[in-house]
Amino acid sequence: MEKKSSPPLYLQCASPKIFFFALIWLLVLLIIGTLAQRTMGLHDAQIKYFSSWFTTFYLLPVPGGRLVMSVIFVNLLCKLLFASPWHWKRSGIIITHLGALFLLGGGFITAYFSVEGSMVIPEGGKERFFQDYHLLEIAFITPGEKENDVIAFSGSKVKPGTVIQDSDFPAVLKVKKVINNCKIVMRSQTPSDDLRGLASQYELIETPSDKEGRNNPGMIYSISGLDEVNNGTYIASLSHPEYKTLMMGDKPYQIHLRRLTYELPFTIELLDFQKHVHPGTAMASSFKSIVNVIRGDIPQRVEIYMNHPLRDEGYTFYQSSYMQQAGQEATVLAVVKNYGMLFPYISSIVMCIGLLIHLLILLPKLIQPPKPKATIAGANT
Amino acid sequence: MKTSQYFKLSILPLLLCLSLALFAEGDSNGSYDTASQEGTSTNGIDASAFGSLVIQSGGRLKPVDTFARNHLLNISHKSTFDKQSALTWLFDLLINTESAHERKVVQVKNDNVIMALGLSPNKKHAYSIRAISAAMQEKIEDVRKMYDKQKEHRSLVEKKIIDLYSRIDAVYSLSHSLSCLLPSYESDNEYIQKTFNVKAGEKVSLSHFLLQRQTLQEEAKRLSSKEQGKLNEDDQALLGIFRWLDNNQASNTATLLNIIPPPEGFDTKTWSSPWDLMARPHHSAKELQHLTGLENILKAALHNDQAAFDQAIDDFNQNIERPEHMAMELSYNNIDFFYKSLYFYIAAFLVLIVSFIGLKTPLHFLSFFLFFIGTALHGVGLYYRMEILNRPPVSTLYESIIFVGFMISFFCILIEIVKRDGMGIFIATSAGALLHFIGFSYADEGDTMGMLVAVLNSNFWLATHVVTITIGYGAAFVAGIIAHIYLIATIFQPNEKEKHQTILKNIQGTALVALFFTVLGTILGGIWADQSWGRFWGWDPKENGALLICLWLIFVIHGKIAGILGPVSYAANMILVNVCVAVAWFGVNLLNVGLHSYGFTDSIAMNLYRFCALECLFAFVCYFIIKAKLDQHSTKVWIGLNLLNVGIHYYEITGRLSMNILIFCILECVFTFICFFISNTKLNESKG
Repeated sequence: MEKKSSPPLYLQCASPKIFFFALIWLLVLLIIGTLAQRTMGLHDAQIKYFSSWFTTFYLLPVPGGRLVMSVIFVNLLCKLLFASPWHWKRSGIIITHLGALFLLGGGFITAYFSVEGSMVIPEGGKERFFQDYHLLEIAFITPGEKENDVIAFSGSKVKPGTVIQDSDFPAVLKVKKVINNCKIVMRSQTPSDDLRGLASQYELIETPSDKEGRNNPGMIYSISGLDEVNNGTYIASLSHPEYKTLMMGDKPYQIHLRRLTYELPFTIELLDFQKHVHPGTAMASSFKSIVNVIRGDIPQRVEIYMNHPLRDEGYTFYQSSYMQQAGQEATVLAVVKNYGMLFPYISSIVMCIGLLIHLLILLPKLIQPPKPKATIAGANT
Repeated sequence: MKTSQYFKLSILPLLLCLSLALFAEGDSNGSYDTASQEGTSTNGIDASAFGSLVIQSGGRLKPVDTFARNHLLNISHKSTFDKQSALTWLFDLLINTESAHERKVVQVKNDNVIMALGLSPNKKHAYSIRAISAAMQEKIEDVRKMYDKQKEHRSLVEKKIIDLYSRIDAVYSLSHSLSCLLPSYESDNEYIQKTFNVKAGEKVSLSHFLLQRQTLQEEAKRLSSKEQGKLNEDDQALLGIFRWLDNNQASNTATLLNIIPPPEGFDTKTWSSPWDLMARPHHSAKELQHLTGLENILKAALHNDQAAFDQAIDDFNQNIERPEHMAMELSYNNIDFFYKSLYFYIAAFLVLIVSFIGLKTPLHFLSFFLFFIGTALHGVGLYYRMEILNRPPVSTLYESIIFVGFMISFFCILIEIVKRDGMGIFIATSAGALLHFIGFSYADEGDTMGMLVAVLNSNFWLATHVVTITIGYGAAFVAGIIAHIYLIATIFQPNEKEKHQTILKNIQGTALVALFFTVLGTILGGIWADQSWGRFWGWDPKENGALLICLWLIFVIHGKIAGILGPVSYAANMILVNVCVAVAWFGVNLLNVGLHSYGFTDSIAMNLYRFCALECLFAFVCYFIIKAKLDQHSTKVWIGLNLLNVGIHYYEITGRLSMNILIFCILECVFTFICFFISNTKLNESKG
């Protein structure tokens, strides 16, 4: 008897069972991840369950959302290329699956290549930088110079063990510990001899992550390569920067831990911020920022309000919030640069067309008037 | 009966409903003296016309009738009190405050709250405002401590007590809204009469003095320059007035009854209460005219002169520019479309049940007729709300409940027209009535026509994303309910295979419709989020809820296509779509995290859990019974079922929705699914 050969790998990858079980796992992740948001907060739960390749559930390592969605993507692609009969009756299904592939593909591009942050501009003020919501950077700032005119070491370098060396200054910075959320308190014990600056009096105490994502990250780092007085261990946090000035070469520097800062190709000036309320209540009905987008010396007047963002040179600015800053109103704009922005728009149109075609082909067969009794009797005989 | 005949017959009720709607419109255009139900205030006046006054409350202009209903609902969770309309209750509160405070209008159902406040329990759970405020006064230190606590740290009883305190506070504030206009001071002192222009023997109101601000200031100055022992009789009378004014001052608190429009030429849209005007140094002639108009209304009411009362209200209304929707809103209040729609649904359901016993064709047609009228009234009610609020039909949780009910009825009309077997009527009337009851429980909380937070204030997205996703909810419910019918039919009519096949096809059809709308709605929601927050997808609980429905539908549909789910498993899993919809619709708001958390409610957790548990239990019990009949491999299913029971008992014992029980249930569902799969595979193998 001839042994039945197993189908090629690409056909095995197209198996609907893979999709079926991946989907079940995605559903489980979705439920656990959503429930976890109550205790962990939205951002941390998202990172742990949905944006990870692997995650843990009560110490048990399990596939994360990104891995499951990748499996679904590959499975769908193989199914579409190698195992899907291309027939007009199945056109709706094929188009829908194409749309879903597009959506997942767009999701990956967004996950890896998008930048999200926010900027605060007081009325009458100008700004050409925005800060990332979560990522950090270590910035070497010369006091007196413009705050953003700095040498900065971005996101990936703010992790334990990283050593920062640069030809511009002789000091060597080594990151000892990074704390996701901390508070700064007076040292309870006698400080050791190598503590410098803020660290000689204060210490960072780790606190649980904030549910709303309003964390105050901190960092413990050491400096070497300078004189005895300045070599040692330092601390810095987002809310308490280290103001001790270190002379490196002939230039003074302060080392700050701050949100990763991006520069825009233009400047935004807030002309006016308007908040409207429903009459007779304190409930806001709309927020609006009237801004000038300045390129060179040429200002261009634009209005940004809820559901009406400004899109310019790949960046999108949204009316996110507002605040009182030094007695005057300031607008908070969310800034996004997303190369995958168009994918959801295209895929949604494609998927809906596909589903509609499938529905129109299938629905008349699925909901039918009852057959006349005589026919049934005839069929039975 | 042919489909075309059905269409022809369905025109009849449509015409009937249109005429009903037109009748309602005509009625409201004609006059506003039908503003409320029958009932007279304690001094014998019929206050109905008072409901036609315009008031600014909750960010919009509305009739006082609506305002009264909202406040009565807020305090008593009922739209009428002692067979009197809300308006009569409000009017009594305004002019006969003391006696109104003695009436048992406040509903306190929580026994722990009753105990904590030291109230004596009664069967109706009804207490007077006086009794509750006395009890609160005794515990005022405790209430203060509760207030100082952060919201998330308050216990349920503390939350309820603070809520009760706010409600009582609102009623007190409301009680004194017109106190400055009630004639209550009479002076026989000639100096007072001359200085303040008071006629001998005539009672005047506080406003009479407060509006003469300059004279008051001069007299106060004169009085303060005198030594205390040298005050004469006139000065003593003047001092009496000052004390009286001081004791009855309510300008800081009684500011809810905003019935006086802003003066022309001012850049404000905020209406004022009579007490707001008292606190202001200058008034326009128009504002003084409004105050006089209100005084005339109150005088006529106190003299029990009905004709003068109605005339005074007419005069007052003529001086105010009334918004267009006012008459429509009065009609909406009076007709109560959703209650009437509920009656028709129940009648249609009962007639349908009777039609299964005998007189099938005429009763079936009558049932369809009643169901159609119920749906039309449902739709007209939604249309009225759209016109009144000038926004798409769904923008709040309450509206989504009403709209999903309507969409279920709409889909079922189509199903019924095609299938003509009563299934559409059965689904729509049972689900429609249930959703109406849920809607009413939400309406009992107070205002159902609130304004929207800034991010929701977009008619385009409300009309596209929210409407589409709620249509999806409706279609998913229809699919879920048909799945119930399939399982019941399989148990009780096991030999009618062809009928089962037809029902299965119907499930598939409606599931595809549901998938289309939920996917479209979810994606549109993502695009809205991209437009307003800058990200298409943020794994926010509400977004995850919508995704849960889509993924579950995809899972069930693909499970069937791939041959993994047999017909019974398919139907049982389709029932769980209802659970997904309920969780996505109500459950995610309970988590109170993320950008979508504006719809937070915490009183529905128990009912939601009961619904989910019952649906799961139904699906598993049916599955177990059917499988037990078909094969011998049901032991594993039985284990799954028992574990679910353990979960439910655990919940019953602990009496609260904890994280553990939810995780337990998730694991339970996964385990039971694996049982299904193994059981199914073995069945297929044994058949093979």
